[in-house]
Amino acid sequence: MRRGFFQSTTVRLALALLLAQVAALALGLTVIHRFTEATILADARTAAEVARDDFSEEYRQEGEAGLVRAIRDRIAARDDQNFVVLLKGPGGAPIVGNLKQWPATVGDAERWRRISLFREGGLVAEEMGLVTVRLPEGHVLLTGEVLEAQAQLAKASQAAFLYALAAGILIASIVAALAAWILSRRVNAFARAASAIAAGKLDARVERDETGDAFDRLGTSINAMLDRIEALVGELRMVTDSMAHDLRSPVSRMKATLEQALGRTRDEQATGALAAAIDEADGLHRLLDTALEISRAEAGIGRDQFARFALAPLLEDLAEVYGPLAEDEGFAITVDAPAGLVVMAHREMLLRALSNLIDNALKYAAGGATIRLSATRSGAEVALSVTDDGPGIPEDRIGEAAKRFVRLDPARGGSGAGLGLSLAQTIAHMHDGTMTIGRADPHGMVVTFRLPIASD
Amino acid sequence: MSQKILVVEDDPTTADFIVKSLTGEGFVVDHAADGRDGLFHATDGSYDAIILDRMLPGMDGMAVLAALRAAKVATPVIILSNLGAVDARVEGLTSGANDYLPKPFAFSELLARLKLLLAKPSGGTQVETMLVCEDLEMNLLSRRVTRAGRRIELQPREFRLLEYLLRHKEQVVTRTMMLEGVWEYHFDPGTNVVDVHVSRLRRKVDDGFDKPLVHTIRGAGYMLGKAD
Repeated sequence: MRRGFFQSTTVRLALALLLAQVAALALGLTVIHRFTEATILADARTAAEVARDDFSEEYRQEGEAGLVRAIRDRIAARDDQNFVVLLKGPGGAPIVGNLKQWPATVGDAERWRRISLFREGGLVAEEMGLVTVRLPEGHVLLTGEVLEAQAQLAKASQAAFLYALAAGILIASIVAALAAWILSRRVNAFARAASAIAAGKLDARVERDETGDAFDRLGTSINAMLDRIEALVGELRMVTDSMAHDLRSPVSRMKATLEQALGRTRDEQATGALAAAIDEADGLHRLLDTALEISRAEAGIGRDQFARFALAPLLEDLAEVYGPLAEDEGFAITVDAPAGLVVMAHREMLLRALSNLIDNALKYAAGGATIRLSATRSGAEVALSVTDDGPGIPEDRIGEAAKRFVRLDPARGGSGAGLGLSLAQTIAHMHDGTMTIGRADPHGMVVTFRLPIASD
Repeated sequence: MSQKILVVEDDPTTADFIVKSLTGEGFVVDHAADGRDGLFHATDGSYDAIILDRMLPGMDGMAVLAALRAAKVATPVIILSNLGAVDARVEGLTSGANDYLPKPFAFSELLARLKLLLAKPSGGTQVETMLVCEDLEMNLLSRRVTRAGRRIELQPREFRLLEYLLRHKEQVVTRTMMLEGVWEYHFDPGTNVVDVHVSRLRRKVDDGFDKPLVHTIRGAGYMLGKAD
């Protein structure tokens, strides 16, 4: 079951990356904004303080009249559009200035105050910064600057932030997608190796790029692990092999002895028992041979014997060989293969695999009536199927079916060693193909071989 | 006169087993323990058959075989080998061996194959058109099969099986020999595929006649004709 798009680690990572980039951008812009604002405010404050000091000096030298004249001159000069000034008399009434009235909350010794006020003739309240000072004879002087630049900065910052955000999202998306792609590519190298291993190719390794980065190191470690696993599996196989091999000699000596005994007795009971013992020895011998065949096929021995041949005659042949046996068991074998479908394969091994599958069907498709051998071409592959219409196998035990020495029916005794399916699967791997076990429609089991088609 | 067999085998246990068993069957058996010795014995051409192990000290079995054939010694050779797979088998047969048997083998299998080789008419290459076993007759041209003059209808596969049995009448043929000879299967499917074929054929050939022709040889295989 596939989880949602946003549950994907890659997508999450890309989103996290995007968020981080946007946050970094916002932080950067905010810092720039704050620094610029601080500079603007410092300039305004300096202007207000300089004006305050100039006017205080004027007052001390020229008195009230001189100050009023200086203020009027300053306002009239219009050299600073943002300049704000107001002088109020000892009684509290405004004498001269360009503010509509003395703001109620402003005292007579403000060191720096930011406030919104209406200027003389102004239609909107403006943000301004101001300082006040009490002059020796009870006058109070207010000087300040409208913070127009600061307001513009705020506007500009907002616009800049929006533009930068849009551009940032775009760039971040590209970077995130790129990062996700790089990540996927690196992870895919692992995935490829893992699925090759799962498909039985124990010599598959993670492709390395020799950069020495974390992925590369992970690849190295995984490859080292795989080397170890391959070595262990190899050792295990060797032990199994030599066991199977060593067991064959005593089994055939036993058979020879039994045969000699059979030749020497005329006793009816003894003859029966000896013949049964010979059959058992034969069965054991075949089992050991099959185990050895699996090892050989797994090791890829016999690949040099691959040849091109048509599938239809092969299947007809199989149907003929197994026909009478199948009839006795109540089955008909049908063949469905287009003429001219050619594969490059080990004929003997493929026959063996298919024989095992037919055998398997005969054993387990009790109650069925047909075993269908079919070959179809799909793309660059040939699908070879053996389908029966028996009861099939439970969904949860399909994986088990292909495991060595496993029989599907735990209650079943008898001689149906599960090596057959196992050998068939190994043979599929040997051909760079796969073997899958599934349920047939409406009931029954279908085992499908997918082999690469013979190229010219 | 009993037939002479040369066994070239270095493993004492296997050699002893083969020599004793063959002697018990009435053959005169010589044994050579290495390739050189084997080649020396074999070149005088007085043997009826040679059983040759593939892996030998001194001189490899395949080299012995090549030397023999180069010296125009046509004695039938059965190769014994531990390399019991199809590939090794094909290689053995293409380099001049008459038969090939993977080790370890059942003695009945070796004996059946040996007798088959010994019974082969040497050099007889005239085309046969008629195969006969007692009152059973097979015409290879008209593909007619009769027993005591009565027509027997056979399916193609049954015809091929009977033809094989007729060509090896009065000899034990094992199941693997039939799989190889009739269907070109070089492995044993393990089920009683062959038995079912034979029992069908037996019904057609023997039912309704007093004397059965198809005999089951316990622990070995089948034989057509010569009931005891």
